[in-house]
Amino acid sequence: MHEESEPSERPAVVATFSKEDLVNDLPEVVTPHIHTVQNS
Amino acid sequence: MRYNTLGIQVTNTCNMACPHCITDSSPSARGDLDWDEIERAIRSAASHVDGICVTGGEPLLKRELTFGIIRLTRELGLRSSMVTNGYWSRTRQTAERIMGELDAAGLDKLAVSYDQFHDRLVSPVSLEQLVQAGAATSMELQIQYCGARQDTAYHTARDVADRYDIELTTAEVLPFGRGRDLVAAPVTNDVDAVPNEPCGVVTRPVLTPEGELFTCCGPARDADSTSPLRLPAASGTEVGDALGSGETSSILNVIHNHGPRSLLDQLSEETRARVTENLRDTSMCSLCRAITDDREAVAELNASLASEQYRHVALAAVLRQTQDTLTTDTER
Amino acid sequence: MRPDARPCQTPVTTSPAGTQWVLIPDSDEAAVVVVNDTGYRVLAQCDGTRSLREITETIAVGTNITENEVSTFLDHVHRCGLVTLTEHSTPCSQRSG
Repeated sequence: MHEESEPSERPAVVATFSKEDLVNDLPEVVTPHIHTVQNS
Repeated sequence: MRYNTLGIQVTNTCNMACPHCITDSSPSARGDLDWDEIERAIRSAASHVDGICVTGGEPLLKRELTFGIIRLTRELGLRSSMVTNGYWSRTRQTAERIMGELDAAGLDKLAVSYDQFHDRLVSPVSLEQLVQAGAATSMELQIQYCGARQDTAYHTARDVADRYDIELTTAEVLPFGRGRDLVAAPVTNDVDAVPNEPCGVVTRPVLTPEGELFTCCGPARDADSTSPLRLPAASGTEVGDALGSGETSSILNVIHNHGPRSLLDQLSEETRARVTENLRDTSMCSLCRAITDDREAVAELNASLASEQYRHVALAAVLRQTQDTLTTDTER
Repeated sequence: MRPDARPCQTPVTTSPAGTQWVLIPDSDEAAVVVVNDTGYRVLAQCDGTRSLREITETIAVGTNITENEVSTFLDHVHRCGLVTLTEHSTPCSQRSG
């Protein structure tokens, strides 16, 4: 088991995005394509 | 992107040899995961996935491993599922006993494969006995059908699913694994016929008996050695790190957010033409493999998508939240 | 930000992505923000009762992270709408607005 390391990097915002822009960029179909595994 | 389930393919061996099997499983297929590797992989992956799915081959041919996985999954607070061919439900007594054991071990969901290929060994009566026995438990049941939905097996599956009010999922045969020989239709290069939808399979990684880790539980198994569908994990303890690296992959996030069709627009004309030539059929999976197996295509995509990496990551999170909201609303 | 300011994280859905975290605010006005793991740990401390100084003392154990760095980070996420500030110790759940 690994011990959790203490944070060694300073806290940072990596990127920010307008929520509205992201929501507008969602695909029209949000139910994803899922196929069966084709085996058991 | 957040992974749905990690598939643990406990064995390549199956007591059936279905002509459409994507993993080439059969009675003569060899290769099993051992418990130490399974346990390390599941513990390592636990913070990256919502659940663990036991698959194969036929998982119940490796009974001890399968029940161990289900118990460990429950212990870790994750959702457990299993895919079986249901060979064990030939008598009502056996079906009830094994369903009871799976329920007691903590299995949350059982999916049974049933179609014109699987019904060579599993009769409609066996399918019904399995579902009937499962209906008496707290498990969620699902029938997985693969084919053109025009055969007797489909109607049997539909009838049983309707009468017991359980989910029936359907899919076409894909030209991968043994299914490559089954899909004998002429290769079409009509890329416009490929569905332009997000992919839900890329969030369902699988660990194979060979110790390979793919980010997709479907047709990634013989992917090119540099394919982004292939996650680098040299041992079970590294599975979590490998999953973490996939979570921020721009190519994987675009496949998840918009589907492989949207990757085509990012390719040069020459590469797009070559990828289109390599389509096996007009399924999303064929296009995905044609793109991700093409090293130049992957290099072009990595270059063109790099500046938007975190936008793809953020969009994947918003998409997942939207999907979760829909699921919750449906369950209400 | 003053050392005695007590930030309170606004409601978000968090989603891990590699070594980063995506924070999706419930509010449509706030931004979707990707933060590193230390940023995520800082935000986890923002329960409305801990001051900037106390949060820094917790996060900085064993590291050279400074109060100024934590303050800069919190100012940034504050501008994004992911934290509110007060000088009084009140759990986020008991704050209005």
